[in-house]
Amino acid sequence: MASQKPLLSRAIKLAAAYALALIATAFFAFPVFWMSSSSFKSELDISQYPPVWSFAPTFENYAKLASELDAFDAFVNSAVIVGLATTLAMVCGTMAAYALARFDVKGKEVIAFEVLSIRMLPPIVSVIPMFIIARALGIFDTYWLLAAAYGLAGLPFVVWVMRVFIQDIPQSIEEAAMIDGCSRFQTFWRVTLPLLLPGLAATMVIVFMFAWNEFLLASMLTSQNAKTLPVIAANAIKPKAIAWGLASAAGVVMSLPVVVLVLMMQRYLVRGLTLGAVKG
Amino acid sequence: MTRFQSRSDFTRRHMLKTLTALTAAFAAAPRGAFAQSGAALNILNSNTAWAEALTASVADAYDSARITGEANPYEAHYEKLLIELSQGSSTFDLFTTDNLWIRQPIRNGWAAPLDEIRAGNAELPELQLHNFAPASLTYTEYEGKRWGLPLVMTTPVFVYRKDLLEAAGIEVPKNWDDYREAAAKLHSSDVAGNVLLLGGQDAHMSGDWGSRLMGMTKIAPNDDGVLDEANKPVFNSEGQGARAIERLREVLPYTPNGVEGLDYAEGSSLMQQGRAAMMITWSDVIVGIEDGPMKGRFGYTVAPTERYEQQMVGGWSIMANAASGQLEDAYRFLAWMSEGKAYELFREGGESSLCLQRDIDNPQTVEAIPMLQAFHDFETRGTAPISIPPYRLQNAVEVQRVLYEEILAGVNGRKTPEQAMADAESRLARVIR
Repeated sequence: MASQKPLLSRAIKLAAAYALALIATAFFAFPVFWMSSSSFKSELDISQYPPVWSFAPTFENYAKLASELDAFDAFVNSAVIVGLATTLAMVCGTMAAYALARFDVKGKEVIAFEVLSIRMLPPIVSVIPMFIIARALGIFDTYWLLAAAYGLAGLPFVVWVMRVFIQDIPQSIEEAAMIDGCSRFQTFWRVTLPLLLPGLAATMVIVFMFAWNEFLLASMLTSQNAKTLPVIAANAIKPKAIAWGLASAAGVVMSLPVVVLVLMMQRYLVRGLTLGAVKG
Repeated sequence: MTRFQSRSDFTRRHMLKTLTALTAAFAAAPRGAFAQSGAALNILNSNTAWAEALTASVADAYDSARITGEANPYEAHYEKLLIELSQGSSTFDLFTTDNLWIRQPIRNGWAAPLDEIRAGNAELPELQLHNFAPASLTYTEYEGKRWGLPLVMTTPVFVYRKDLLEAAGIEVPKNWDDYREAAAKLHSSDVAGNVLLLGGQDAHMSGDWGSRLMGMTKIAPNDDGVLDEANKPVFNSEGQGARAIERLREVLPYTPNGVEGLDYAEGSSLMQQGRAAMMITWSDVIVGIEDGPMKGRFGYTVAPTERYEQQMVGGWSIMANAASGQLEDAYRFLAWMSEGKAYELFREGGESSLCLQRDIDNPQTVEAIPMLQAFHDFETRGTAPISIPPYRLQNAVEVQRVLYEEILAGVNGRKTPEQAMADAESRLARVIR
């Protein structure tokens, strides 16, 4: 009897924990489910009140998204721009972080602070200067402009986060590689970088998400050629009534690449996000 | 296991390298390489029913140039208009504008006068202005020059659920007392008695407050009900501004949950879903409600009034960007539009705020588009059209924002209506220019 009580108590605690986890999962997953299911509803089904749970699925909203809002072109634009921006921010940011973490640069704290100051400006403040510069350089409404803008916006984050990750790697490992004949760059490339993979993955996913979902600059600095998905998605909210089906379909299309990227990087992400949480 | 890991890394690295190379190559490729040859006119556009038709069916029907456009939600449209035009950008050859904003591009020299474009080339065709309703042409005429063409003519429409009013034995309200009583009677936990759009600057200031203000005092011919001809505030000269706020407060208890965040789109969606019984909103932003499950159950008429039959008539216009390098092509397109075909395509595209006189006069059109009844009720009720306030100002949006903030403070009880109006007057004295 005495041993049954703790068992029962443990079982109840376990059941309660599972129930709580299920409720929390349902709470966070429901909006995603509702968005996905709404994207397959017709205009009539979607505007029913109370909401309908059983309906004949249709791809009408996805077809409209492609035909009326040119979502395919916008998807390609988003992928190219965000791909370039993320690459730019990660390459330049990681190398800058390495320099700040490893070299005895004079005034490096000031440099690091200066890099961060880019993030201190509200984006709206930079819109008009960027518009003027873009027109003067002839890069308005091109991939290069947004890629540069997003790359620059992501750079401070990469520098600051990667600097901490690099500082966490014992310097003696690099010294050992250099004693074995590696140059500084070879050491960085062959020793440090592989150890940084979890941090790189976590940082890259966040930089990618920021750029992928950015609206203001994408709306103001593009016209016909470089429109990205968030601008297209915003147009699903029409003043004559919200096109819920279209907006949901746009939401699904926008979320998919991020979900896929997170799943691909999951292995590194968990390590990256927890690295340095407990110092040995 | 180790080999597998190594191979997997190799493949991933190659994949990433290939992707990066492809991305850079794609970005470097000239984007206009596949563009059609010949004149191309780019339009800064909205995202309403007429706007969608403008770059779809209208563009297809026009042979002399390729018409492209960029659709923008309301606020983004204004911001983009300001940034593009103020910097002398030629991205857009033509731009569409809410008549509320219209003086800004005209007085700043961002728009090109159409008469002057034609004066430069006698071969350009004449604009067929006789095809338009006279009230729709006033906004694009300034200091004796024609600056553009109307696209749609709008007014605050009173939209109501015919079935609910009939079931409750309520006559269609013609004054604000009847409206308040109807809202109280129709209000339930499922269906709100009426909708207010507290979350939208234009929607609340003009659609909610403005529509109530218009009937309270006799408005002088050159006033807009908010400012007089000399741009002096007159909106509370007899306490009418505060009274309009009180009218809004009366029906606030009969609005849906979350009314603080409602703008045009949310209000229209609530009506579309059958979750509200009555609403006053601009005629061009409500056309989507007939696409939902309540199709055919709506009635439309001119907004109720207090003492005088006066209501705003606004709309949208299209103008040529002074910085465009294709002003003559832009003029030709506008001249073609003025022949009327483009406006018929707007109507076929679902627009109901029409400005083509032959459409308005045609009884079959009214039968096909129930909302046109609201414009026809102008005649039966003897409603006098009033210009949308404060469109004559260059900084109309800034003035509207001040009014909106003070009206909202009065409606949600942070200030008394009188205090809100007094504060609005003193703040506007510093802002109006």
